[in-house]
Amino acid sequence: MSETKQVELTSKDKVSFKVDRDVILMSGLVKDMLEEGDEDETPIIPIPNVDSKPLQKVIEYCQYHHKEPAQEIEKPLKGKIEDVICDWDKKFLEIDQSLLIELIMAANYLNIKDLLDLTCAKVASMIKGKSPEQIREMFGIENDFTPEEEAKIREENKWCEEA
Amino acid sequence: MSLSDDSFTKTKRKYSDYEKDYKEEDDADDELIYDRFDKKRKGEEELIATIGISSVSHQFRRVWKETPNGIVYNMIIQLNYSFKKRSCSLDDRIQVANFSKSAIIGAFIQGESSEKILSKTERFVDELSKIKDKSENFTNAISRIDRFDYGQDDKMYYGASLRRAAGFEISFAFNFTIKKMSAQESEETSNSCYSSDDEEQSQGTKRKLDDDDFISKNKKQKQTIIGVQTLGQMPDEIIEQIFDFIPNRYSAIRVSGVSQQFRRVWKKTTFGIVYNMIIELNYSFVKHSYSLDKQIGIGRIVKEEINQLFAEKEDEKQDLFYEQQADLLIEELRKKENMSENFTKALSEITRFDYGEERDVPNGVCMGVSKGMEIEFGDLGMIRFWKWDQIYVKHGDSIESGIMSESLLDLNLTEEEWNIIIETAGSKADLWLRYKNFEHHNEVGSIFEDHLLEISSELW
Repeated sequence: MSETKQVELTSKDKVSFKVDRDVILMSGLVKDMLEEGDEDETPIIPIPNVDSKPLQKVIEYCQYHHKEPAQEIEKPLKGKIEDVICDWDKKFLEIDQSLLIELIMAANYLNIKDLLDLTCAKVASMIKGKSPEQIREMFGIENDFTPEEEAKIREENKWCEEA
Repeated sequence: MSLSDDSFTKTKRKYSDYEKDYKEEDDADDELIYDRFDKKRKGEEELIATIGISSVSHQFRRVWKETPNGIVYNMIIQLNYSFKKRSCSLDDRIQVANFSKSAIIGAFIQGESSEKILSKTERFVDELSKIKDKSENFTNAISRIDRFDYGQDDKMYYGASLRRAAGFEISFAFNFTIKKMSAQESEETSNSCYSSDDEEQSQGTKRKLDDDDFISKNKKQKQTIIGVQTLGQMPDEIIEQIFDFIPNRYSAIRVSGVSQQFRRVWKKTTFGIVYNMIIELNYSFVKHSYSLDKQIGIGRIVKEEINQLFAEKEDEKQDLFYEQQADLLIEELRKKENMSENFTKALSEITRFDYGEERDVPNGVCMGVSKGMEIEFGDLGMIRFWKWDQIYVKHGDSIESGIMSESLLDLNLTEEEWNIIIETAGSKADLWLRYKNFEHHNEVGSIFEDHLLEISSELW
């Protein structure tokens, strides 16, 4: 029986992860890099933009969805996100907000569309039904509108809120 | 209507004709040109013509972009770019269309009825004010009435029957003083807010960074930002991805008020494009002092344009569905054994299989169920079966029909082979069909209806 080919990923904080080549091919970035390299060796691929914690989660995601392809999430979300994703994904998303944000960045950098969709949909579901003030507070976003601009936006939005 | 490069070619006139018409206005000011555009507003042909005029010069194009027609057409252009960029499916496009229609209807119907409602409300409040010996609370309540509306609809469908609906609504302002203040505030800021362009907008709403309250508010909020792990520090592309998932338009609109970045990104989303068109239209109405009637006229044009544009998308989606159904039908028919060469050849000619049922179809004064199917054989023509049943009457009339294009006879299929095709299609479409009428197509060659050959028709 032939041994499964592996790839070594090195995170921004210099932590190495050995992962099956077939699994990490879910990443468009890694796939492109592997196509350029020699297939016989265990290549070491630096992931300089991703810390070990989110990288570990990315690998966890790929290991599961490599065998169980993720279902496409409809845009925009039709209801609660919990209703459109599998149980494994629900558990996977039980993480703190900072890790969720890091995961979005990692998925974008590594070009893993399904993971990017999942994490973006999660954030969208968190935004749903919140006022601008609540969204700012929840995600630590700076309010860089002047009072005049805020008044203007309130006025512009009025017709919609009243409709 | 799709605003492609060839839109202009749809007009009967040529570009050079417009250039000639407007040549004398090369040095005219923007307002004069605006007036000329405005006069070109009536009728669809003239509407399209304004696109032609917009190509005359940079100045014409700039002014045109501020006219209601220009705003609407630009929205459609931007929507098409946005759909392309996101590789939006037909379903997504149709959803945006539905949002556009409801948003436009919401925005303009409000304008249409606001004068009438205002008059009704004033009369109602007057009437209540005449009541003697009112308590303080009663007087206070009357002062908070900001809307009174009533009406009736004699022809309202409820299920299959027609009913009369009547009702009224009284709306009380929760805090009338605050609402009044908000209206004043908007009046003060509206002049400085107008612009359809981001750059102009930032000039119009120049920030007052010396405002102490604002600075302290920002300082306080900066303290809550945790390192680099915040949504507000993400690139626009990712924020855009997140916005694509936001479930409803109200949430989508609210995000536009979170931060400058959110607003910038939101304006590029499909909902943002539509919503901005309405904002720009409202500013344009104010700037050019449009009357309510004129605003309503524009509202109607916008609705028609959106309807026309997206009706094409609906048709496209439907066509795609029926092409897929045709493939399934062909697959099913290919399983039949001992079929002739002509039969196999005929199957390859099937391009569309359409079937459906529609309830409550009015036929004269009756309501009924209409159902049927069509099998299209490309340019050769089609076979069509349909039936109309009157419902809710014990012994209602039924009409049924089977029609076949004459040129299909060239396929040289036997009666048995035609029956196989029709029965298979009928069973796939789950339809009731009177196959017995389809007996000898050669016997009915004398009955024509347009390009179709009527093979059976019966009215009980």
